[in-house]
Amino acid sequence: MRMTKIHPITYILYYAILIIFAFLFTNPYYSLTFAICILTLIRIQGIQKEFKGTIKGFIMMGVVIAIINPLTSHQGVTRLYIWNNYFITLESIVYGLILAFALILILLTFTSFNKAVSYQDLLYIFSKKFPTASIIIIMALRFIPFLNYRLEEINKLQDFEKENSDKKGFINKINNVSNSLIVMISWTLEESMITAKSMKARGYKTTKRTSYLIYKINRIDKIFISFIIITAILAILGLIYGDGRINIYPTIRFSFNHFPLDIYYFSFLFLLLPLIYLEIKEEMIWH
Amino acid sequence: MALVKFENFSFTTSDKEILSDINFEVDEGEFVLICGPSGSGKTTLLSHLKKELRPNGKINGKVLFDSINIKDLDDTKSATDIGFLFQNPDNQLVTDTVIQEIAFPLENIGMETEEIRNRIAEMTAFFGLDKLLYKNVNELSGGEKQLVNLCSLLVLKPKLLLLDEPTSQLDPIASYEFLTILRRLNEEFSITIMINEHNVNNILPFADKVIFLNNGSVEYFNTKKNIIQEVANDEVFKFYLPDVSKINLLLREKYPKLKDEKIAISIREGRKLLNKIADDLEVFPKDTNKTLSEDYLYYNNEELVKTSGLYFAYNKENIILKDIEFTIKQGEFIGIVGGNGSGKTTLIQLLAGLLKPVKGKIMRKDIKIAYLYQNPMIHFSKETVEKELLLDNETELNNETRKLLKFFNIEHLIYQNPYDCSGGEQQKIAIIKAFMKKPDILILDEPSKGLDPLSKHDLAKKLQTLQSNDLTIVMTSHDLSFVANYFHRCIMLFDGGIQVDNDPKDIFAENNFYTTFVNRLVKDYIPNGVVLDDVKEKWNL
Repeated sequence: MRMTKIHPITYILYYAILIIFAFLFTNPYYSLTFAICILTLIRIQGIQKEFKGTIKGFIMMGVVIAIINPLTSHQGVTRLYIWNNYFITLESIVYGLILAFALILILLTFTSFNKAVSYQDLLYIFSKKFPTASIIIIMALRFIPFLNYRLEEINKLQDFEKENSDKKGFINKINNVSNSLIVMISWTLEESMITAKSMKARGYKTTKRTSYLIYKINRIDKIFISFIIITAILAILGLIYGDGRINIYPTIRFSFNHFPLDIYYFSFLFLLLPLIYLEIKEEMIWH
Repeated sequence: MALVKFENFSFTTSDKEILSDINFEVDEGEFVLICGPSGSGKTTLLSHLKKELRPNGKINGKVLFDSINIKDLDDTKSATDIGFLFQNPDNQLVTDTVIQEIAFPLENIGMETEEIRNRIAEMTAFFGLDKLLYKNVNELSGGEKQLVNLCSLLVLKPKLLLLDEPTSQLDPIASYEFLTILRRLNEEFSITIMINEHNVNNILPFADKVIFLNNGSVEYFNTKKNIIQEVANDEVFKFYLPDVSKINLLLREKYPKLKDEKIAISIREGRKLLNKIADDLEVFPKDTNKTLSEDYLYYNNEELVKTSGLYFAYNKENIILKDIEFTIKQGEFIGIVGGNGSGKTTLIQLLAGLLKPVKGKIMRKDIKIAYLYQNPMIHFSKETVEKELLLDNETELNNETRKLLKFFNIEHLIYQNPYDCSGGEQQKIAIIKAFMKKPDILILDEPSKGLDPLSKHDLAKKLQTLQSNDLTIVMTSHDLSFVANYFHRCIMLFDGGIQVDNDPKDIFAENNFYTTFVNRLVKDYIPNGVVLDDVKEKWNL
């Protein structure tokens, strides 16, 4: 349980801005700042474990994109011949790298978003507009683990019966799998009739549904939202003045010596910090 | 004024008459128990009180709720005023968390968020569910699930609760707790309750009136005290009397001075009457506790399965079975009892080989084992019973299968879909299916669950016949009188191990709480009297 309650709308707004910015700000200094901050946030949120599993996949995907882009796109002026007159351009290599990096950043942001906003929070937002769809999602959330458990039991029984019979072989294996599914589906369909009756008996579809979930827009939400809007606007102004983004095509115009220590950079940096700050504050209560 | 009124009501589906000529009234605040064999129309009767659940068919006569014909009842009023609880705790759960499930009906009727939360707070505090609010419903025990289901009806503040065998899937402790809550709701809040139930021992003491239903018509409808005398000699319904009343009725025959007393229903009343005639009753000494030694019928039989140092767990924190050592001998009829989650199912699945032990060994002779799940549905995948029972390469049922169908009295079902059969019939089909493998050991998980008293008796007799033809049977059960009546050996699990392994009658004679109703009643006179036949024999009734 968290002590700081932030409205899911605030979270959604914040993470949406982050995801857009991960695409827009291609300056390596900006991207690196973004990466450091989001990794810190993930670390504080305590999801490194799940994260370790997924990050490998993200990096693989990034590598694939970085390789494919120069092979398919020949924009740019700096030609690098590799074989006879087949060439790739330096610009498209760099562009591929930047694109891959941005994608990884977005996926990281999503990982963090998943932790910050539970599915129930999302449903709350969702259920106001789409009450029927949201109840279907809730039902699925109960049903899928339930079916999984049931299929396990059925498979256990099938294995047991298989051991006792002398039929072996590939065809029989397929038969067994299809049989398991038949048992599960007919059993479950039969029982879901009762679920449907139980829903009807408890007044489902009599009037427009409401929700038991309650979220208030608190002072902290107002401060949070004003803060991110101000910093985001400043950072975008910077973008308009050519700060935070590098031009790649037709030629790369970027110098590592130019570190952008200006108000635009700092507003970008501040935009990344509020959640880290709140998480640390939360941690401090317990230490 | 009557809250519920059936007026010349009858209900016919395309092929047969399900309910005929139903006439009765239920007043506000009454607790009405409905009993009858499976297929007698109990569930249909209850569902006609709930507009949303009325089955399709031709209706004659009227059902009135609060003087309004059920079919003209407003949707919201029907949803809130009449609550319907189904038999199986799993199927009626709709959502994933406890709080969402309880909120579900309130959200459906469009209640304001603040009001929803007030109601949930009130109800969950009353039921002691407030600690479970954010738990996933799949992780709850059967009793907790049924409680959540009940709670999600009560938040609507119903006037009438309809319950269709709500405790048939629960263990005795959980079902007792559940019934106690029903009693409180009835006594403290005057909620009218109509309940279908087979477990009369527990519930009849709470009830005001009883309806005995057979073949779709009301055979008896009266207050509980009167009805017991009415059905005392009825061929069908004498099985539906609580054990205390059965003994009481027998004693009346022999001791005329009991005739003026009111008939006993609860243990308390029963013992009071016994004290009245205490001087005439013979008191027996307690038999010394036996063990399963030389005089045990199967002591020298061949060992079929032998386990040594069996351990089982899904994770390190929760070890389900510890150091289980026992043997199954040829021809035994073993019952495994124990509380919820004591590892009964795990143990028999290990014995059958469905699960592999984490540690320890199971030695099996070269034998075939058949295993029957608690829910027979898992065994069915074909459209008809006949196809279900055909062996490979067969187009017609062979003679042996036909004999079995005849033996279990279910020949008439062969063209039906197994899913359309009643619980007892499904159980029998599954047993036949298991039997066609010609097993040496038949292992059953709770086959007596949810069966009406007659079917239960019938099933037990069939199993006994099979067992006398050299079949070894192992089964788990929650039903103590079932175990005491028919089994030779009973194993009680506790704390992951075998606590007692003995003749069931000896085990229950030792226990004070975990024992049969008969034993609780006559303990002071016949310490070893565990089932009705013991009492009959000792007192010559």
